[in-house]
Amino acid sequence: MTRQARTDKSFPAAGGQPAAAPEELAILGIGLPAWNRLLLVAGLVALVVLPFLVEGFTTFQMTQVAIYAIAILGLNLLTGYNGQFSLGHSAFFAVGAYTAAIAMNHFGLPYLLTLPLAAVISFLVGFAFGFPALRLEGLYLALATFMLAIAAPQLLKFSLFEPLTGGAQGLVLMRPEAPAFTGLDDDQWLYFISVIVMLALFWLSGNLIRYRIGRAIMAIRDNPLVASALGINTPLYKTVMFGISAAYTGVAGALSAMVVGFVAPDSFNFLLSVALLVGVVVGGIASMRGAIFGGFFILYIPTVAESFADVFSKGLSWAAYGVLLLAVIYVMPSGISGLIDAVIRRIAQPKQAPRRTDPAADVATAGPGPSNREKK
Amino acid sequence: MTVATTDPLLRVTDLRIRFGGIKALDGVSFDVGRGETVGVIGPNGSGKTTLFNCLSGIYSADEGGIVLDGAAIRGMPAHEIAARGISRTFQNLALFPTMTVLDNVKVGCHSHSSSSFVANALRFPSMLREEAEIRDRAWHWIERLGLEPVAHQLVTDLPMGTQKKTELARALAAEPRLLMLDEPAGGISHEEIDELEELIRRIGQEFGVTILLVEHHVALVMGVCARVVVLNFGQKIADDSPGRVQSDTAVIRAYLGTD
Ligand SMILES: Nc1ncnc2c1ncn2[C@@H]1O[C@H](COP(=O)(O)OP(=O)(O)OP(=O)(O)O)[C@@H](O)[C@H]1O
Ligand SMILES: [Mg+2]
Repeated sequence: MTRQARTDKSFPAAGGQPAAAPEELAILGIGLPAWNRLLLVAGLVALVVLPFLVEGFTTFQMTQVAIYAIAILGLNLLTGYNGQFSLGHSAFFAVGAYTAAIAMNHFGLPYLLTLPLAAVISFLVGFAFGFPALRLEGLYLALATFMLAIAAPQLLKFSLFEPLTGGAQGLVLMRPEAPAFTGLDDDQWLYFISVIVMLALFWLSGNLIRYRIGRAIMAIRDNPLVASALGINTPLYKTVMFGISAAYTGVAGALSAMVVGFVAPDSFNFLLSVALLVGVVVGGIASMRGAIFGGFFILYIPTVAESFADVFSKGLSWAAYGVLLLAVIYVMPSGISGLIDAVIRRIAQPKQAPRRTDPAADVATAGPGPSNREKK
Repeated sequence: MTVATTDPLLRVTDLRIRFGGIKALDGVSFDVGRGETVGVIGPNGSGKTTLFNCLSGIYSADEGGIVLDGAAIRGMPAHEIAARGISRTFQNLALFPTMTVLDNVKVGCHSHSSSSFVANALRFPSMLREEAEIRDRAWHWIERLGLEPVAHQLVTDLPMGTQKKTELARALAAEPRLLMLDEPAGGISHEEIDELEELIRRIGQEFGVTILLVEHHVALVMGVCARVVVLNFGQKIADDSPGRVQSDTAVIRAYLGTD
């Protein structure tokens, strides 16, 4: 009976947020959800036209940003949303890259098919690593994943695997060529493949974190004991999340192998793990769109740092990078994504003219909007 | 109900757990009948929370039996026990701090839903239907506890009493057979305690939920419990009606600390 009474209130039966959600904020008279859709469409249009407006090298760089964004999103699913720390994602990146390279070079697999293969194999490797990770938390997990990152390049160079991996020399790949009917050049073609894969993976993870599974993985992050007392199979969720996270990063690795046309052990060293983690933090922990900002950051900031350092001494580029990183974290403690949210909260106004209530209070209470789940 | 002795919902026999030298539970046995509301009281450190932790699978008892509705559940992982119908609140607030009130309550529905990773990631229609059910159920309890105005707010922004209600709503959203409340009246106002007393009574009567209530607030325990189990240093020292427990000499001695 009470259930009946409830449906009379304005809560739609399916889809979307309940009507009671504080969505009535607006900027320039346009509601925030409308802005979201607008920006999404504008972003998609920009993604499509971009490679026709810039030169080849920039297209190539944008492709790399998309690839990093995928890897960062993968790490963010694990660390930001599920609370498991990893310094070992360079290893999963390597698994994906080598899966693609070996499948193409030794088994002649069409390059597009190497993507799902890399996803499956990286998932399995990540899932398997998730079991020992269950027993480790915080610093211990950081250490164990750190060892993974250290070990990966050595294993790839290991003489026993050399016939497959090419040892220290690595493997040179045939760079995929654009099909003639598309009228695209190769850079543009790889750009579109990477961007489409990125969009698909963003869509999947957006769904994953929004519903039942997402609540469960975030509940585990927030309080694992309570999560299990509420019926969440914590070990299973944590290992699966390790697998999914590794799969994302592995797909990024496979794309990277194609785009660069070359894999070698030392491109997947510990510094790549650190870069991905930097991408997560700078973009915004537990923020999906943050992964894209993170991708830009880790691609461009090292170059910026180098030109900064050039002023003093060429050898100081990492020091300059560190200073830049600290500055960004200081100015934006919750990442670029958090800064954007803060700005929106500052300039957004209640849609209808404020009633008798104090508008400032209105904005303050409406702060946790629908996108709240994405923050922190 | 007095069927407790013949077919109890919960039967605890000779439960023991120790932490180093401390026997936190030292051979505790009692039954809880279907539909009963049983109080668990005792001085600080007497083992009440430890008992709850053992029952919900957060601690694994060293020895003894825990039987829920005929099934032995001691040693089962916590999530399986939850799926069998035990849900609880925590002495120190244990909400998910990054989530809204609504999402916290939705997590309470986890055991009664089943959509998979794949169904979630690909937005299967079956998953969306289940989500609608979860939302309905969560809203049901949110309204029951008068939490609608704050449903979309982060729990950490809310006053203690509201957070406690959210935790109660989350536990109720699991539609448990056995609901365990660990000091629900701790840190809330007098009016809220009256409200709580009324609510606990109605949960028991209207929905037939069996309740175990740990509480220091004597009036609340006396108001809602037909039976009270008293713990002291991990042992049961009384198990009787509230009135008789209050005049029990062993209980009085335990509380005055003269033994
Ligand atoms: N995880 C643990 N490790 C070590 N000792 C513990 C642990 N949990 C409980 N204890 C000990 O077991 C005893 C019982 O504690 P418990 O929390 O069950 O008491 P309580 O009856 O709930 O007390 P209170 O009324 O203060 O909540 C205490 O001596 C406590 O220190
Ligand atoms: Mg206690």
